[in-house]
Amino acid sequence: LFNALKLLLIILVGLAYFTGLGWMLVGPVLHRSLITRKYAAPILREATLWMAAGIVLNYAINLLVLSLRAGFIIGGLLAAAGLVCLVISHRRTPPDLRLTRATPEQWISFTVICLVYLAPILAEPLFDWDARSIWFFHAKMMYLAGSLGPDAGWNHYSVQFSHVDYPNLIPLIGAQVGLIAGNWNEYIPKISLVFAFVPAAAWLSSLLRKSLSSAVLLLVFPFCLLQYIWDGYMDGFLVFYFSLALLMLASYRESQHRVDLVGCLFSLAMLPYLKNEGALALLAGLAAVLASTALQRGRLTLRSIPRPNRWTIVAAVALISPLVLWKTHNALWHLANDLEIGSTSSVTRILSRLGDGSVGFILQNIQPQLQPVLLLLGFIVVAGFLLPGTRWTDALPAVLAGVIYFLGIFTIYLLTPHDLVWHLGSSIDRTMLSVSGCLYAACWCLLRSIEAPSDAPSPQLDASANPLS
Amino acid sequence: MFEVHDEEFLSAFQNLKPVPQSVSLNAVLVRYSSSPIFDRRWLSWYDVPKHFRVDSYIIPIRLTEISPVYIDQIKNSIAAFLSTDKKKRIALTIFLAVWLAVQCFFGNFAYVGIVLAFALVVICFRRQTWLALSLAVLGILLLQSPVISIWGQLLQSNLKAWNNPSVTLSTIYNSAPGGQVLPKQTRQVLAILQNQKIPDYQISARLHDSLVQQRIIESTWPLKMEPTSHYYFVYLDEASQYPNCTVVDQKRTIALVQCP
Repeated sequence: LFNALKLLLIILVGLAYFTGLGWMLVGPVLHRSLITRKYAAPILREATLWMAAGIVLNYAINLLVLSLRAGFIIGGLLAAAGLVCLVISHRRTPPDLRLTRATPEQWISFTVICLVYLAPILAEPLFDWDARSIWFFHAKMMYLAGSLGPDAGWNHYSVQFSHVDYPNLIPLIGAQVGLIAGNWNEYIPKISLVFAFVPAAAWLSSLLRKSLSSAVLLLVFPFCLLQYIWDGYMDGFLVFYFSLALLMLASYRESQHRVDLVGCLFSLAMLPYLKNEGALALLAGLAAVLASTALQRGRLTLRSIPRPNRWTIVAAVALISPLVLWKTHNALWHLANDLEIGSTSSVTRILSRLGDGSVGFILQNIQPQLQPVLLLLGFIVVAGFLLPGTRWTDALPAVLAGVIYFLGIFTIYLLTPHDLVWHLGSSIDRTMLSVSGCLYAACWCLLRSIEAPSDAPSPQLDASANPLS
Repeated sequence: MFEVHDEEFLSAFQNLKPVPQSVSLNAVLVRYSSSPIFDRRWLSWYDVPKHFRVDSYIIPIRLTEISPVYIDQIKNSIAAFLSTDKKKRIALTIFLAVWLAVQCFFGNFAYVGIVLAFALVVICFRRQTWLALSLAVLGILLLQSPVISIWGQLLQSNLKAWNNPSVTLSTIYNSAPGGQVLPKQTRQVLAILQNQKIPDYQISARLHDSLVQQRIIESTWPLKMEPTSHYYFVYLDEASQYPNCTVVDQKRTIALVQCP
């Protein structure tokens, strides 16, 4: 019982910490205030946003101070202030602007998903290669050094196999959990995966309705991410958040609610901190956002992009700062990437592989990975042709993001300095999972347009939100 | 594709309640009903005179009713399909032919069957569309994606964890680092290090197998592997290759030797 309570306490305190920290960022961006709310929003969608923002802000603070203890103190103070502001904002807000309730099926699906994944996340030890040799080895290095700085040992020759230049969003939380629990083994740092999983599960549940598209969503997103949610790999979370960003974007096109757009952007902001491929996913996601804006407004000009206010700029700086800080630290500490992207030799390798049959070989390896989603998408396209009312443009942003990501990964396989057979064999299932995620999001958009929408767009839309104005 | 009578449309507009904050629109989104199942579907943007001011751009109008006579319904559905936009029919035919040919090439005959069956159901029995769509989508998803195998893994993991929760929780907190997940050579290195305090180490050429080496490095961290170290982890049968060194400790197959 004591162990169970301790575990529960760590999880609850962690969630409260990220919630408080996240409100310091989300409050000003979404409501332009820390102590008042200006919009009502579904609870599962906004509360998730706080946690996701808190996770990124926690990373930013620790990268800035480079000390786990100092990061904890600063983060803890900010989180406490955030929680106080959150309570005040709740009390000061009239009932019609407060968080709106989730439906019972959304709560049920959220609870079931969390419970189903809790056991494998917490009770399966760290075993697989990436988890042990990269992510949670980095967490151990940070935990033992109490620092994200060079003291952690990033430069030691013996750890160069560990891709020390990789981002450490979740490993940092793993190190923090180790610090709180005062112990390190194959299980404790995995608690960090709970903190990454809960917001994603809540976001997913908030999109569910009583419909076929929701059933598909529920089947696809936790379960088609294979074991990469609980085995300590970051790939599952990269795909989950990337896909959620696209789903939020699609949801925003329908609801025109700020929380969906902000959710989409915050989800995208997490991606480069999960894995290096996340930077590519971020670019693909931003292209999808621009495409969605263009589709909605009929054209894409600089004027059609909303001008950011000061809070949005502050939030953007906070969200981008970990990327800038980590890249700066990498340059200062001479941590190099093994792929040699942008070097002359990489261009030479691309040119030689374009002519030696590697392209066909790569495609041959990709085909089985994308087959399940292509079959589903192909069927839904046929259904869309046969049934009237399909809004094809709904799926375009997600397809565009998938295509951009696919081309980026394809290029990486062409330029890899490693043996192509080995590189494909060790990573193709994970890299293509993100493309599958995008295409599953496109399937959801098409299915949603085929089936009857269960609720009409909000009648209190303002003129700027109206796609026709 | 579908005609909307102006009288119907105007009466729909007249029934709208006036709103204080109205928006000027030059088009409205028209909803129609093609069947009781696929009700409330967006159909198309319909031009509306600019002077109409409405509070929302969604006007629900029921335009068609499905004949209750079954045979008539099939006839009407086929006729409706054949009378659809020619471009759409050509696009569908080309897509369907190419897509199904590709799937036949890859041997996905069950999938081809599902798609063809669905197309027939949609064209002939429009009332069954929702059911057919659901069955087909869920069938494809469950048969082709890894969902079922992941359910199996999750079930197994949950049963294992919840069978004896106290053991599970105790393992989470109290298990020693390393456990049973490491290669046996690495576990022996860790066991030796529990007894011997050394400042750094090297490993023999045979232990340089990448997985074993990496597991030794990460599990013994912050103890570091240094090329100048006097301590070597070696296989027992390699110890003779280190003639000037003394064996400090040993386990079943691994020894720690100290060299000058």
